[in-house]
Amino acid sequence: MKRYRSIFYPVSTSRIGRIESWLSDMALQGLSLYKLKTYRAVFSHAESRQMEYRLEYIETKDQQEVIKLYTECGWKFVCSLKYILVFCAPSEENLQEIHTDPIEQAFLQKKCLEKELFMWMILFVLTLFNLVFGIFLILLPSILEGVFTPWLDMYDGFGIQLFSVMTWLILAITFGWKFLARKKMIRDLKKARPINHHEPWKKTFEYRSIGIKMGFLVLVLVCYGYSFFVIGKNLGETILSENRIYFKDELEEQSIADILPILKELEEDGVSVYSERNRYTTELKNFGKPVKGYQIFTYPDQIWADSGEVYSPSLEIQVEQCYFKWLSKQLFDDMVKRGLTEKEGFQQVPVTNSFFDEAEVYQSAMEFLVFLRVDKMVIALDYCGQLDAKILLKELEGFYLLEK
Amino acid sequence: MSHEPGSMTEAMYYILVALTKSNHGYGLKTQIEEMSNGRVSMGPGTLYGVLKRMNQEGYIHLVEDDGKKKTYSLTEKGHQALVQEYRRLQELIEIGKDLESYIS
Repeated sequence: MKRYRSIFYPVSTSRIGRIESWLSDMALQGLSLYKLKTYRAVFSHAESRQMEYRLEYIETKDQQEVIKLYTECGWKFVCSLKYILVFCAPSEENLQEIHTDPIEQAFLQKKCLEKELFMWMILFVLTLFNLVFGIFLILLPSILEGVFTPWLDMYDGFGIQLFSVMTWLILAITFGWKFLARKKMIRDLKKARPINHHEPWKKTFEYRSIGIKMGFLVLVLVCYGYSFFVIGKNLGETILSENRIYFKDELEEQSIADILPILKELEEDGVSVYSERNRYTTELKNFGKPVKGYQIFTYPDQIWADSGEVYSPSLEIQVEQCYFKWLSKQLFDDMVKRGLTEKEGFQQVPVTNSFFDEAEVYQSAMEFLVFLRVDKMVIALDYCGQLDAKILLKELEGFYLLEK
Repeated sequence: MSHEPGSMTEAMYYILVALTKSNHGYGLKTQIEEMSNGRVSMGPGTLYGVLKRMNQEGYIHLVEDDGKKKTYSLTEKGHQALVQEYRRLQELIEIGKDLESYIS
């Protein structure tokens, strides 16, 4: 048989009466309290005995004095955990109660609670700081890029940071809940209602939720580790790298002399120029993020030339796909907003569309910007060419079916 | 801050009376029991709480701390509060004297 047995608290340690009652019941079952831990009590096997247990919240600097005084009065010191001291005595000894005046006990509890409140405030301030810092980090890349829509970056992994903030908030609320329970106890003591040391206890939600709490704790650690990895990586990319491009600000202009040899080479290899795509995925960049996206540059057969003998790649497609469908509308709006940033002279073109969930087309003298949403996918297209909006949409239906 | 008449608890009064001679926690407890003929028996938690509070409020002060026992004594403020409370209680007794005939 194991020498010690560890059991989760059935109720919070802030419920003094119920915990004392539980410890007495355990002693009756032959489990004598050995040690208190954050979420559980450790018992040693002993003879079944009717025992009285008392939990005292005492400031750490006064604990030695209190232990000495109580021991002189017959109470046996069992163990301590931070502010909590546990004393016990066999019921048959019928010892005098530790507290004979509830009002005086309320004063004592209040002093100790003020100390704990300070710790709780630190936790709360840290949570608040985390929240502000998280939001700042979400906005930072947008600010650096001169685009003040944070949404793409949120999809990009900073949402994880927000999640961790939420988890911290939950922890802070849990502590707050315990604090309020103690406050209520003090109010009762001030009304001369002593603690009921034999208050019936039963397994509360707190007990059942221990697994959830543990799960949350693991999630917090994972999220923190991951979010700092993402933050570091994204910040590094934003500041140091040129790869972090959602939209190219301008299409690179190339002379026909540069393009023709490439086209010729491709044709010699038996590759259709239209179907050949300079395609890259950004899966690595989007690792673990809710948006998976890639960009496609394609050179259709209709190469458009301006009067200056300068040719542009005519099509640039960006595809972003949300993991969650309900985010796709927000992503669409954001991509429209980003797509039109720093673009001048664009007018929205009314289009009839029955294929896509949403479609918006903008046109300038030389360029089309098309935004499409279908299911979880958002397609942004930057087109320079001679097709009109209607034909362009038809072509894109084909493109979508191909992608699908 | 001076003591407000009537705001003193019974526990405080007993401790102030007992501390007219320096004493330590457990010694005070037994002394109070003797003084009150066993009527007032203060639990160690209550005693500790009152001592701590009175020490913070300046009614008593620590005169010796040998690591095992803390010995306390009255301060001037504590002395004045005790005298004030004693006189207040005496006045109450005086007022109550007229009730003797009523009770009997």
